[in-house]
Amino acid sequence: MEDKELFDFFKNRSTSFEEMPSEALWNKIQTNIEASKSTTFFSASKIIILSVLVLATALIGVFIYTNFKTSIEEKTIHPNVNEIIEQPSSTASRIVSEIDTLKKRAETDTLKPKKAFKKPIVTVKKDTFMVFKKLQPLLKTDALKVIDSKFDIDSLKIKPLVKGNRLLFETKQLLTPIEFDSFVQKVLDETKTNYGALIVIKAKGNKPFRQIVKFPEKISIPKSTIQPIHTTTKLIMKDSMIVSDSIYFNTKK
Amino acid sequence: MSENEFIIGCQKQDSKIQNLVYKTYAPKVFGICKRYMKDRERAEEMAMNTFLTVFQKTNQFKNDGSFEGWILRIAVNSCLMELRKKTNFENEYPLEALQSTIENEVLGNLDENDIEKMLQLLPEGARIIFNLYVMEGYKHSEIAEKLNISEGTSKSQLNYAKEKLKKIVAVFNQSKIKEYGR
Repeated sequence: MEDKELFDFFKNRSTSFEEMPSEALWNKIQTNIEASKSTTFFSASKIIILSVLVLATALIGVFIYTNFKTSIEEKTIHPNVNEIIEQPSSTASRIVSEIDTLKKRAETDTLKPKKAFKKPIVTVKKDTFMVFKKLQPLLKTDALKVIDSKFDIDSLKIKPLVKGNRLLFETKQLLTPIEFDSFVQKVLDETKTNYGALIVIKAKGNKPFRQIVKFPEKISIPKSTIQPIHTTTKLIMKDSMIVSDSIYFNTKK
Repeated sequence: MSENEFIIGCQKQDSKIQNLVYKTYAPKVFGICKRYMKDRERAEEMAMNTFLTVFQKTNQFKNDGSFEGWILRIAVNSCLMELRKKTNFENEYPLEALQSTIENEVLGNLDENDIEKMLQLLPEGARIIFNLYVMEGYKHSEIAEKLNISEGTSKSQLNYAKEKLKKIVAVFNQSKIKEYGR
């Protein structure tokens, strides 16, 4: 028997294998389909619920973190300021009195050299307060200024130090950046007519400010206010103007 | 009902259409499964796996062939997946031991169209490869790739299946002649 004959023998009879499976098989298939459908639905809903939970947790986390951060920032500035304002008079006065006694003792003590109290380390006025060194880095200049509520920018009446074309305004008072800005503005307003002058403004705790007062580029002058001295030539006032520090007239000649 | 309607119905998970698909293709699918598996129970199990895969993955069907062809390919692959785990294709059988007295008795009771029982006389490895090569029309290289065996193994198993089946058919024919001669 040839291979081909054998193959054909089986191929031609392959339909004899075909047979409808039992009825129970379809029921089994149907049950499995339903089960897989519900599993798919369950897993899909599970994924949705899980993702919602994760998202909610993340949101709550962010909310808590933001609140925590804000409260820390508030605690860093305000409570300390309150503490400083509330606490001081007794502590400060106690320190001052201690320093005074030590000073007196040092003055009266003739055996020991007086150098121990040549320069007291801490000088505190009785009506002010103490800012402890370890608290200082936590407080910005603005926070410190909150305490000194008496400060007024108009109180800074500083006479400028004139050196040629240079006007130096300097204050040794500690200014916040905002105060320094208003101080600069005030000085600039006062010196706005000092054309060509170099304005230098210095204040403790701020970078020096420098500016040259510029000449106005064009200033129109009303016709009637200026008359040319020259009488022989006929000058026309029509386009007269001041450019820097000169007055120009146009002439037809 | 056309194949396209079957496909659309299966994609929509329409149970009526799924039942129609089952009724239309179940005999062929079950036939394939019977050829590969040793008993009916396992063949039914494979047929069930086939239809479950068909209904779940109808979206993956590309219209580059017939829907029926796609379903039958799934049936073959389902059987192979199951058999690949358990079958040792490297076993070699001596051709001398092809014909036993038991086989002769079996053959004596065979009908001309009872090729199912003829194939059952083959060892599992040889039967699978004979099915793939002769019935499904796969090449040795494809069989080797599918079953993760060498082409040589595929060829030797086919050769063994051929020789054995030739003898079975010859015995069958002789017994038939004798029967007619009486």
